Amino acid sequence: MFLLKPIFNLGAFGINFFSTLGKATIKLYQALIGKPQFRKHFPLLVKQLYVVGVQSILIIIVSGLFIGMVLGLQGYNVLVNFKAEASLGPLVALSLLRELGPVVSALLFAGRAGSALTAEIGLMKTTDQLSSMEMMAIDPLRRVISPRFWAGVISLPILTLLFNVVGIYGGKMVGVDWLGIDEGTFWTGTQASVEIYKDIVQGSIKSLVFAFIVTWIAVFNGYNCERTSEGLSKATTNTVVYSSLIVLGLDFVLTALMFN
Amino acid sequence: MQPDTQGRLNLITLENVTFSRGKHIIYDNVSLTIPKGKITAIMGPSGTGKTTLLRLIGGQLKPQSGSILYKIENDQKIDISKLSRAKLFQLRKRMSMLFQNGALFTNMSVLNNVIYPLKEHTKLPNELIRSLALMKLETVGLRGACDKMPAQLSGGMARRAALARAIALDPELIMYDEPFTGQDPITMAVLLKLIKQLNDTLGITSIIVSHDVDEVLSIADYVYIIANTKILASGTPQGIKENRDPDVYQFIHGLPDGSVPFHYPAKDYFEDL
Repeated sequence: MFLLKPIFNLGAFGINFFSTLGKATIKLYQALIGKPQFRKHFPLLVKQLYVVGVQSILIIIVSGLFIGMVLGLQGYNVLVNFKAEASLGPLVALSLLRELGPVVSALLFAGRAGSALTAEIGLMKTTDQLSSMEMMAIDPLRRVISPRFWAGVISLPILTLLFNVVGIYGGKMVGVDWLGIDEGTFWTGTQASVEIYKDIVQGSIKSLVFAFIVTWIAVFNGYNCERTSEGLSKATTNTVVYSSLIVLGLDFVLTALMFN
Repeated sequence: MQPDTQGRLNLITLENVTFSRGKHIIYDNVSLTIPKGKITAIMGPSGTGKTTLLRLIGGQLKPQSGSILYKIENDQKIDISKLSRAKLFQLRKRMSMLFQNGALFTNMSVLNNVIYPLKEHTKLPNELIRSLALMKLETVGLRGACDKMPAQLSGGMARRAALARAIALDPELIMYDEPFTGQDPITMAVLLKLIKQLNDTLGITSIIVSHDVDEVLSIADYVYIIANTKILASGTPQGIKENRDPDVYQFIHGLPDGSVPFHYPAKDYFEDL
């Protein structure tokens, strides 16, 4: 009997997981299908780009700067032992472009914008605003979900690029301006080792995938949330937890595919 | 007044509708009709799924079996529960629903809330849309509050504003979900007057879901009482008042104990202590 219970639970978990995934996919399909009406939909998208993207710029810049500075400092301390401090530029740039940029931006984005999206949509559902929109013959999937989804997919890759730029500059501030590496060495090394396709494009692909996943999780959790205050808080937490875990797991898979 | 059995005067006909949530059966083989141009009240104790009925008619929920027919032009009837998503949205332009808490969009002013459905579904110039919206707000007496945000309104005002939004597109059917719950007597009287007035002047078919017996019986043309997955009784307000069925009697007269017991089913009191 005590053996049966875990198996039973696993089965229940599996069924639950796949039915939720199925529901989420159908909702996403319904939100994105159909021809867009630019006159109506474009202003909505612009507004969400502002809320989701522009309002996340500050947290991205500040985090990027500090992560770049820490990388510079730690990298310098190790490299200087081998008289290899000239490689600090490539170290900072490559770790940011390939890994830290996409991953940390996605995590920050999930916490800053993803949770806000879930809470907003969830509260709209709890207060019947989505239902009333449906009864007005206006599809909330296309009117509420779709612009938020696209805003997330567009914003995060751009925010990631910003994160990378600021991070590399932070590394330069510590390495060159503070610890005294030659500026020319720093930039030449960086320029020589960073490749457009291998590093910048593939890093951007990563962040595009993360953007898709994080925003999808965020909007679906809001749309699917229970109509109680516990339900709303659970949905918001789930958004941050699931998107963080999936981003980290997926990062490994993508890295294995891209750089191996 | 009896509902027309031939169905020519009925806007909505429910035939043998069964609906359940999980194992919990809410409607078991229920049939009822909503006469066109009249006020039909759906009453019953809390938790019997009165709101569910409105969501079934609105197509937000689908019954497990049975059909929900909506009469359109030329006596054609369409089954709401079997419509595609696009067709359902098409049909919904004919109906509107007043939600219990108003469900106004919190990020726009009262006027913009009323403008919203007009802008979505008509191609009228902005000036005209604004005038139309102001006229709707005038009907509910809130033209002066058009620039307020929903959060600044009292509960009764929010419901009136939502009513203005609900009639913005001149629907042929309005469903009121518990319109009187939690309102003071004055607001209640205002809402009653508005519902009656809309029904009389515009001929809008109205369905009121409520358990405020006296208020509802004062304006309804026909009443259904729902309890325990079935229709317990139906008839004119007068007929319902004179109904001697113990369940109906207890509900209409608000008696604390009767065929619906005061105590939730429990095991023996002494054993439990």
